[in-house]
Amino acid sequence: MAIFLQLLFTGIGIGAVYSLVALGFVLIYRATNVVNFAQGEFAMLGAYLMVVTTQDLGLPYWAAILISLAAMGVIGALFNLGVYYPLRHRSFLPVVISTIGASILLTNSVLVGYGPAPESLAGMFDFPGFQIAGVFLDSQYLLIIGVTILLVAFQYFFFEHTLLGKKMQATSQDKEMASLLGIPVARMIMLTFIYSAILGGLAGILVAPILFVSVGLGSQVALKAFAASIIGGFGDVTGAIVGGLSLGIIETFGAAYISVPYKDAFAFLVLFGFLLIRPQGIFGEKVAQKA
Amino acid sequence: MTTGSSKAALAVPLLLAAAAASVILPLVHPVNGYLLNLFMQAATYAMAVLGLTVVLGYAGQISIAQAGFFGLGAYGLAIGTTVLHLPFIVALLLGVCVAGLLGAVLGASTLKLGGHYLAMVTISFQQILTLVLTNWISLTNGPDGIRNIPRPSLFGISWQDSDRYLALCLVVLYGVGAFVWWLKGTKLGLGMQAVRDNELAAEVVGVDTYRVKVTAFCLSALLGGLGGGLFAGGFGYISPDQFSFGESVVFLTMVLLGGADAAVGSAVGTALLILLPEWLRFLKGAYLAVYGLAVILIMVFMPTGLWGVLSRLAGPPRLRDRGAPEVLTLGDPEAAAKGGLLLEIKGLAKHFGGLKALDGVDISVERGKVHALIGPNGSGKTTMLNVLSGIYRPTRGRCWSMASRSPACRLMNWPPPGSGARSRTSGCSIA
Repeated sequence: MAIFLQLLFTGIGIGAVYSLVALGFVLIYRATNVVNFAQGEFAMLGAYLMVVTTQDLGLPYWAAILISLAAMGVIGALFNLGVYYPLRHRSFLPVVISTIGASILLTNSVLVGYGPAPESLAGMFDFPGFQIAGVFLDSQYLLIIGVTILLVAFQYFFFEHTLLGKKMQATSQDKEMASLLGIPVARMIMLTFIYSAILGGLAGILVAPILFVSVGLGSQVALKAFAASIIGGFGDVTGAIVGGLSLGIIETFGAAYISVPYKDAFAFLVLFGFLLIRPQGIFGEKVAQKA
Repeated sequence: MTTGSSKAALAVPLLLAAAAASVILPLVHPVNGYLLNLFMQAATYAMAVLGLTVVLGYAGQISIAQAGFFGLGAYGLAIGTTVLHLPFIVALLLGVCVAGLLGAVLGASTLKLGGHYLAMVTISFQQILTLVLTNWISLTNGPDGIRNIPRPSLFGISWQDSDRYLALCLVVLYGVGAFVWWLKGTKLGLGMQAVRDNELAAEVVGVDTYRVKVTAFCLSALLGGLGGGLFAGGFGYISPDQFSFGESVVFLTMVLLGGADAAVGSAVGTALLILLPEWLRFLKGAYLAVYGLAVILIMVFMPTGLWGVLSRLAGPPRLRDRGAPEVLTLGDPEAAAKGGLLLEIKGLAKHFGGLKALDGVDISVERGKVHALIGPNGSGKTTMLNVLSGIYRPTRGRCWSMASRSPACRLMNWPPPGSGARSRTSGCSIA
C-alpha cells in the first residue's frame, strides 16, 4: 500500500509538469488554431535560464525565478513575431513546420552554449521532504503540485473574472467576431504567446531539479504533454490538466509494474488507443467536419 | 502539369540526360569515397521523401513517421541478410512489405482523424517504433545496431563497389521518381489530390476517400521502406538513432523545402538538405541552429517550396490558344430524344428535429434535360442537394437511380450492387 501511494504521489508530481506544458499547448492552440511544437523548448529554456541566473550570475533563487520568467515572456513575444505572425494566414502545416524549425533552432543554440553534458539544478528548498505513513513526500514534488494548483486557480479566475481574460477567451473562440467587437486580436495573441512561454518556462524551472537540465528536456516533456492534452480533449483546459495527471500516473505505474525500458511507450499507447476510439478525448467536443 | 509548351518539351530530355549522366559519371570517373557516401545517402533519402510526396503532397495527409518506415525497411534488410541469411532481394522485399503493411495500418487511422490528431498518431507510431528498435535486443541488437550488412550481387554482377552500388540506387530512385510523377495524373493520383483539396467534395463526387488515403499511406511507407533497405545495404551499419523522430522531421522538411506536390521538387529538397550541413560545416556546432532558422525562413518566404519558386521564375504556364470559345447548348437534345429516367425521388423528407426542411419532395431527372431547383431562402434547396449527394441521411423517401454507386444510394441503404437481379439499377425505400 505504501508503495502504491508512493507511486501515486510521484505520478501526480510528474503529471503536474505535463499538465503545465499541456496548458501552454492548449492556450496557444485556442488562440491561433496552431499546435506549437516548440512548447517543450520553452520548458528547456526556462531550466537553462535558471542555470544561468543561479550558477553563472549567483543570484538568489527567488530572484532567479523572477528574472527567468520575465526572460521567458520576452522569448514568447519574439517567438510570436518570428515564428507565428508571418505565417498567420496560412494553413496549419507550414506553421507546424515553422514551430518545429524553431524547436531545432532553440535546442541547438543552447547546445552550442552549454554542450550536451547535462547541468544539475538545486531544488528550491533545502530540506528533502516529509515521511508520512511510509510515503516519502519529496519537497520538490510538493512544490510542483502546489504551484500547479495555484496556477489552475489563477487561470480560472483570470479567464472567467477579468476583462483581459475574457477578451483573450473571445479571441480564441472567434477571431473575426472579437475584432468586430473592438478587441485587438493581434495583441491578445501576443499575450497568449507570452503567457504560454512563461507557463512552459515555469514547468521547466520546476522539473529541472528532478530531471537533469539538458537540451533533450524539451522534447522529453513536450511530446508527453501534447499526448496529455489530446487524451484530455484537445483545446480543453480542464482536459489538459486531467490528461497530464493521468499520463503521469499511468507512466509511473507502468514503469513500476510492467516494464522500465518501455516506460515512454505507455503514454503513446494510451494516446493511440484514445485517438482511435475516442479522438475527442475525455472532455473534448466531437471532431466533426463541416458540411 | 504539362503545359504543352516548347519549354516542357525541352525539359524532359534535359532531365533524362542529367539522370543518365549522374548514373554513368561516377562509374567512369573516380569519385572520392566521402562524396559517394553523401550521394548514396541523398539517393536513398530521396526515395523516402518521394513517399512523402505521395501522402503529403498529393493526398494532403500529414505523416511524421517516415523515418520509422525508412527504419523498418533498413532493419528488414539487415535482419533478413545477417540473421536469416536470406538473399538480398528477398530481405529487401521483406522490409518493404513490413513497412507497407504498417503504413496501411497507420493509414487506417485516417478514417476518424486528420490534421493535428493525425500528426500526433504518426508521432506516437514513430516513438513506439524507436523504443521497440532500441529495446528488442534479441532481434535488433538494441542501441549497438547491426553491422556488416552485405551488398547484393544481382543479375550475375557484384554491386560491392560503392560507385556501382550508387548507380544501382540512382536507377531505382529515378524509377521511383518516374512512378510518383506518373501517379499524379492517374485516377488514383487525381483522387488523392481531390481529397487534399476538399475531402467532402471528393467524397460527394464518388471518390472512395478512405481507400485513397489508406493507399497513399501504404505507398508512402513502401517507398520509405525501399529507401531504408537500400540505405542499410549502402552503409553496412544501422542503429535505432538513425530512424528517430528527428529524422522524420528532416524528411518532412525535405519534402516541403522542395515543394510537396512535385516529384522533382522532392529530389531537389533532399539533395539540398543533405548538402546544407556540409556547406554549413564551417559553423561547427552552430550548424544545426542555422538549419532550424533556415527551416523557419523557408516556411515564411518560400511557401510553395523551391520547386514552386523555380516554376514561377520560369513564368506562368502558357495556355494553349483554343480559338473562340465554343457556345454550348443547354442540355443534350439528342440524348433527350432517346429519353430515359436517370434518377427518381418520391416522397423525400428530411427533418431536423421538429423542423421539416424537406417534406414530400418528388423529382425525376431525365436524360439530356436541364432541371432547376428554385425556391425562396430557407426553402430547403441546399438540404435537398445535401441529401442527394449523400451528406444527409433522409428521414423518409423512395429513390431510384440508374447509377447504383451514387453516394445517395450508398447512404440510403440500397441493396448492395450486384446482390440480386438488379445489378445496373437498384431501388430503396426508407419507411
